[in-house]
Amino acid sequence: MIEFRLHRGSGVSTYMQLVQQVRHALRVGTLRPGDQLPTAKEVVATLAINPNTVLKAYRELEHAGLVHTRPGLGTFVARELPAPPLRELHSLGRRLRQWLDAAYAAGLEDEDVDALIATARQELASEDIA
Amino acid sequence: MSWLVWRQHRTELIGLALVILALAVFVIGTGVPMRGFDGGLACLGTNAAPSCGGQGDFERAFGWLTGIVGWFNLIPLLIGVFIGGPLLGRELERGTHRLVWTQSVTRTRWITVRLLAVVGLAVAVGAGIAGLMTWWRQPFDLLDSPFAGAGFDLEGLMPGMYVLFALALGAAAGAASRKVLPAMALTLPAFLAVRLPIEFWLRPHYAPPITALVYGSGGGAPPGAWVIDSGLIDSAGTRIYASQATQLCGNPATGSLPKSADACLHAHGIFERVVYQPLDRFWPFQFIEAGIYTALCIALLSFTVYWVRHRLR
Amino acid sequence: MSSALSAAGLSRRYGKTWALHECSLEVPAGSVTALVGPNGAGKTTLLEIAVGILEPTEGEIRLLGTPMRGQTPSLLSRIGFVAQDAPLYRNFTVLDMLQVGRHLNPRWDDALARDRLRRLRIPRNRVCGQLSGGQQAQVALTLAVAKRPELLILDEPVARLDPLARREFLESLMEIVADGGLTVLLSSHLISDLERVSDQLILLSEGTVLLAGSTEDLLAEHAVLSGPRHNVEAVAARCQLIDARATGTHATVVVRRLEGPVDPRLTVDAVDLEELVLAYLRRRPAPLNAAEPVLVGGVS
Repeated sequence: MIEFRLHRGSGVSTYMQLVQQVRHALRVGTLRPGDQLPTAKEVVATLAINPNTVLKAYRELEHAGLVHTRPGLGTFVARELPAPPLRELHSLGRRLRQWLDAAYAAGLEDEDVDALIATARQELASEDIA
Repeated sequence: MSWLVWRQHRTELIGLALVILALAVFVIGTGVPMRGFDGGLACLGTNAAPSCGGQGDFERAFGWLTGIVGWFNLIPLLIGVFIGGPLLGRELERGTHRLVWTQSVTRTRWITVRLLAVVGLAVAVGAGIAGLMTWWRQPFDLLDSPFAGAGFDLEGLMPGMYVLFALALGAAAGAASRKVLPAMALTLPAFLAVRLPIEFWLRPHYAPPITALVYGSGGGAPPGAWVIDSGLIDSAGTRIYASQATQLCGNPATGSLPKSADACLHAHGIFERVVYQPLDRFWPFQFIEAGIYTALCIALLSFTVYWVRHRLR
Repeated sequence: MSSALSAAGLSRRYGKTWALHECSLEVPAGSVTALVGPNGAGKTTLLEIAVGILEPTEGEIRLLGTPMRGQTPSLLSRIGFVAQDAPLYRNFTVLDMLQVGRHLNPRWDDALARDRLRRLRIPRNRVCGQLSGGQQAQVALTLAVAKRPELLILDEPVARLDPLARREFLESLMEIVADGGLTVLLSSHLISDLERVSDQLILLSEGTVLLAGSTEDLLAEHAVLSGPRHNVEAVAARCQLIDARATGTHATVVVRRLEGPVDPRLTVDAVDLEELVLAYLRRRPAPLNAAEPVLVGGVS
């Protein structure tokens, strides 16, 4: 059974924190297919959060095919979360290093790099919404 | 709702019941010996049998008790202060009215049940006091008059009216002040400010009093009448003081005016004037005064209902 | 989604001052709506109008689909209310309080009430005046919940509780919500109290609604920008500027509906609810517009 924790002020919304914690547990193997997730009532009784937040996180996980809900029984882990393919990881890492070299060569500092990445992510996210 | 009213005020109501019980014990404990004294009731009043002993003995034996009974007039006032004041005041002061008004009960129902309880309590306590006092005062009513003073206030409709008025005052003060102590503190003077002027200034004038002129002093008013005023006047209608009369006809040395001086007073054109209300006006006066208090109570209770429905939150 | 409560042009005046002015708002059915605002913002006035303790001077309010015109027992039986400071009869035992609920409510669920008190370990035979603040709040909540309401309205339920009692109260409240079928409207002058439990926010200030909506949408719609002042100004001109702080050449702004690419020299952060509420309460876009640089919080 997974036990959720919340990090206040992390800037990550509550439901996203729940999603991330389940995904993490799947990745490291604390949660296995068939395991049951705590009910919304159990979660809110320990975290004092809105039950809709829990349900929303579970819906998101269900949408991703990671869990499935059996009405009246609860929410269960459907499948493992595969780690990202190794080869992809290598090539992405290599390209990122090249990009960083270029950035430092242009005189950017770590904070500038972070800001650029954050902005790019945000733009991608807003394009997705649009 | 009625359960809640009972639960909230049961301490006060049990206290009140104990007071009434103590009253009953006093009434029976002294009323029975009074009836066994000398010839009993048959020997009191103007129709006493000639074989009876002096009625002054009865007065000497039991007269002092009327002084104690006079204090019973305070019971309605105490009920008004200790039950009427907190009736709404405590609820409003602590904010618990917001709790009750948001159960499945409207505030109109809340105030209605409370005020009906007030009326019920007044009727019960009023009937209790009046019943006990009417029985207890029988000997004194024969000797004196039920009309004068204590009798009028402790018998008939008046005890109930006083209790209702005191409770209505307490409730209205509680609604307006929204606090217990101010409500209690307001009830006390307000009750007296109405009760005393009505007794002393209004009551003698519900009907024009009868004036009797008697030659010489003594006598004049019929048995059981409420004598409002009596004194000597001359033929011009000017008041003659006892000292003046003694100077004229009595014995200035001892300051006494014996019965034998009547002829002398008559010769000087001096009459005794008695102003009174006859005994048969007792019940009409009770109804008139009860009517006044009923009107006051309706005004107070209407104010309270209005205030609760429209001015409180 | 239907509304458990909706108000249109709701106003309440005391003498010459408006405690509530032209408030229009919605509480979606099934939501946990936080009514937030500084002390004196009109929160209690709004909630008391909602439960019929107070009448509006102007405007309309609908509860559970029914227009509210004074109190009616049928409507009252569907609404649970805990007033500010959770008033209880101090000389009543906890069981006596349950009797009050049983006598005054047609749909009273005595088993639920007793079960709740047992789980919270509240001594049933103690008089309410001797309970801790947290326990009193729980008894008041029990009373409101056991009447099986469809809408639960709580006025500053945690204001006087210590952090532990506050947490326990909100946990037990959320458990009730998790059972479903209940809409909750609760107020606080501190958004941090309600941030985690609410999914809807209504921000009230000086009797008017400053901000309302789903917390998630509101957080997504707003952002904090900071960086060189003229860059911030350029971006702020393209969106709705809520609040600004400027110190010399640096500026920080809270904006709504940030769209399009942002200058990489600017830092863009998500807002948290507390920041958002403060930005709307302060609402001073002025420093950016002023000709002279305005020092705020700086050392002169």
